[in-house]
Amino acid sequence: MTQYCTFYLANKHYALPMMDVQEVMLQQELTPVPLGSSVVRGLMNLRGNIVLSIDMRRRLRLPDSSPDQESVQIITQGPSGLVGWMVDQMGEVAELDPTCSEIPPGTVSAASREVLQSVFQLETGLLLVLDAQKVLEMDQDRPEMTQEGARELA
Amino acid sequence: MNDDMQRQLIQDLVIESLEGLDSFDAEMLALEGSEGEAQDHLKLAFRMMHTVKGSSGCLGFETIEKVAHSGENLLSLLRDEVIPVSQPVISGLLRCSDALRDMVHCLEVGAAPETVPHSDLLQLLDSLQREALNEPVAEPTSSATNATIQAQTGWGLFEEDPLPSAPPAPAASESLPEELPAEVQNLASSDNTNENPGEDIAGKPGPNNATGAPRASESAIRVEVAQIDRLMNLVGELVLARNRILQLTGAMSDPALNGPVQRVNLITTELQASVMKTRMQTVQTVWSKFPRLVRDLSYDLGKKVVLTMEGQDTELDRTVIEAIRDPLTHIVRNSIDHGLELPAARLAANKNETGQLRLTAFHEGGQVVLEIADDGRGIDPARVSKKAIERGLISADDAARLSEREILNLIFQAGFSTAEKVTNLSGRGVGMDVVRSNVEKIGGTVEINSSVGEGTTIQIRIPLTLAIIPALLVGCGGNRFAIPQASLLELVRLDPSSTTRSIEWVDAAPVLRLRGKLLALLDLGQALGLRSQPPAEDAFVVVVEAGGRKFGLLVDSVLDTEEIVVKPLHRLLKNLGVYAGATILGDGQVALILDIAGLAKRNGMSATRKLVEAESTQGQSAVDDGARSLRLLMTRVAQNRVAFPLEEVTRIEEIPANSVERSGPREVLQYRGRIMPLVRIGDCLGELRSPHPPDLIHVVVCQLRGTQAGLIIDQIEDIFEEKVKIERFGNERCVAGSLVAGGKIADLLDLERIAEFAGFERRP
Repeated sequence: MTQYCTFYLANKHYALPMMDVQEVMLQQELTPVPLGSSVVRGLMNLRGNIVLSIDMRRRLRLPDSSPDQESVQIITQGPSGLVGWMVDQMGEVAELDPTCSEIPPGTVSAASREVLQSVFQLETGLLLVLDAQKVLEMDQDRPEMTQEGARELA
Repeated sequence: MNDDMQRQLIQDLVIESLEGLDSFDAEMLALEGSEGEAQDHLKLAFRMMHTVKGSSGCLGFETIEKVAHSGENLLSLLRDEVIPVSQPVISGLLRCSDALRDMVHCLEVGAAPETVPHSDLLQLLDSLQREALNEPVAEPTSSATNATIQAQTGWGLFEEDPLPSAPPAPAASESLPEELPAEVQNLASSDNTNENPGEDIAGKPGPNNATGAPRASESAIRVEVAQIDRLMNLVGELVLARNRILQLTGAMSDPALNGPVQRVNLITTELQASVMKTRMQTVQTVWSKFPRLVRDLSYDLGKKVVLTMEGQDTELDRTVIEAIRDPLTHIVRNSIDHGLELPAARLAANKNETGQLRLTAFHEGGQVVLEIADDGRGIDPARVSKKAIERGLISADDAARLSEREILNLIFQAGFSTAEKVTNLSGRGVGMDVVRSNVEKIGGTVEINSSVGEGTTIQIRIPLTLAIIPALLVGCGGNRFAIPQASLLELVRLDPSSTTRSIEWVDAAPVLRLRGKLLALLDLGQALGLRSQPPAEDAFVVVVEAGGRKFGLLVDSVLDTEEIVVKPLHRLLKNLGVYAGATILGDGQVALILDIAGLAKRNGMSATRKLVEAESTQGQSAVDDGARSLRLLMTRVAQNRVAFPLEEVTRIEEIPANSVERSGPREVLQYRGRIMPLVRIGDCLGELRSPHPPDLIHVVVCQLRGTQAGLIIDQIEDIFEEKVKIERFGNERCVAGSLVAGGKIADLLDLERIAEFAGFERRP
């Protein structure tokens, strides 16, 4: 059995392997990075370490949340430093058997499919487990989806 | 060499050698166990043995050098596959390593390494070599040697069934000199302990270790830099937390709380300093290699060189030390190879046949200055510009326009080398450009000063540390950015009511007219996409220089200067090329550090700069032959215009005419606590007197033959930087020639002739 840290984005249920998660913190004030990709929301200070915050809605080409929506940062330790995944809300910790994962159904968007590690069918619905490495493999040359583009898709 | 330095050098040698010998043993064992490529192990082992030999030879420990040399000889035969890898050979080499380790331990406790018996070891190594080469064994009877070898095999670390420890001792003592029985026992017994491969050989008591002083290897530990960085982070956070507590308690003014809070305050400050200090190393760690380098190079080149070093204790951050190692080595090589002349040439030039090479390090203004000075032949600007033209680095026109200093700086261009013959040391056209780029990479600068026939001084200025840098915080489009002070030249506040401090436009490029020169501007807000409208009229211009580009950065506000801790950026942001890192400010917020060179490159500032320079030279008379670019101080003496070369001028003072006093025949002035002789330029030019002597006189302070002197003129008119052609009509005294600057004719003064005229003695 493996533990997964689950969270919600635009009412969809996602998860990260617990091994990748360092801690979870409430949204903090971010320092924007001009000229950076729109997926990069900014930098924040975590006890003297600088954390790069990634907007997971934009990363998965989901529509932006309303400005007053609270968000949460899931801190992961990547090979190139700390990364905060900005998500809408935390879910439960799920204990699942990795061998029971299923083939992603056709309803999963292409943007999610790229970064998917596995899919579980829970009683409450689908749980999409993301691959932390692939989420950070952003194509540098390809401009990430702008907000307008994301809205159109939605 | 003073005692402290000697001790430090020895300590470095001890730590380095012990580590090297430990890895040497590991390589030998791996070799014997046929793990991996034999050649790889041999190469590594050879390098370690060579290092021990080199460093000990450098400090004059001949015995260690000799033993290491024998080991090295045997190793080189193995490496070149002249002799096969065999157990006796490996055992011999391991014994060599043990003996070296004992000798190094001797050094550590201040004993002479010679007290460690080594003659039998040398014989052993020699016989192993000869035996393998089928040469007759030198002096000792072969039976004795064989006995030793047999004994050796008995101590092999991988012997399944080690021989009893008895045989080696007598065997070893048989061939040992009689006068050292105590050490014999010591050596023999320490060899025996090798039966247990798990035991730390370095840890056993060495000879003459009676003093009980802690060993270098025990009093120092190696800590990963990452670990110290984590400590630094935490201390940084502690400082922030402390600041907040100080603010809160300051507002509460509770005396019971104040005491402990002040203690926390002090401890935090001290803790921060201590953690910083752990990253510091003295510049000696780099310099210690130079005596050897200088010695070897000067022998190879047949030159006589004395190396003097000052300020070895100057401390630098570890990372900075690493970054300057290669540039410094290169400059030292250059100085000996190109700078200093052969003894005969030096004698012919009326110099001592021994050349001086001086390394100096000191702190200045929060930076570390490293100077490498030689008293060699100096760099001839004419030769440099000729070479630069030949190599197509500049055109002949450019060359004529450049100042002497700019010409010297050409040696930092890629592909430049003036060495007429390429030696294996230098002269291949790679080097000084790498030196400069390496130094600039860590936020430093390189300057070169040279006078033909007298020598060259290269000055490197580098930050104390890369981890903490002084920075200027600026605001732009609601964001805060840090600009490293190293690339900062000056700040200008725009003032729309002043013509000299408002933005002008050349085509679509904003420029600022700064002291008569056009400076290209880059609007930070626009460059970073923070705003589209032009900056406010009273914005600030931060004049910066990086990567050879000088430009003005337009920002909304200038906030503060702060010492910032540089933190690396995430990979995802690195290729933006405009940020050098990020930092956490005093209020806990993150701010980005601008990469000035990157910003300039991304926004094509170099191209703009060329355009602006072309623009600024427009309207001036066409370049005619013999014209030089000069910076001139234009003054007036009676009716004449008189020009001073600005680079000769130290200061300009305005003083009341009645403060001039007399000393003997000379007019003098009390100036900064000293007596400064005065010279009336009017007298030099032939009894020129203004009809109405003014109440205030102007004194141009400069050096006349090494003496500070004041030259009296009537009025200061202007400062020009212009291409001028100097023409001479006859042989006027004190005047180098006439020129046209600012549309008017002026006489250019010749300070040397003025010194002659005013009777100044030549001073060294």
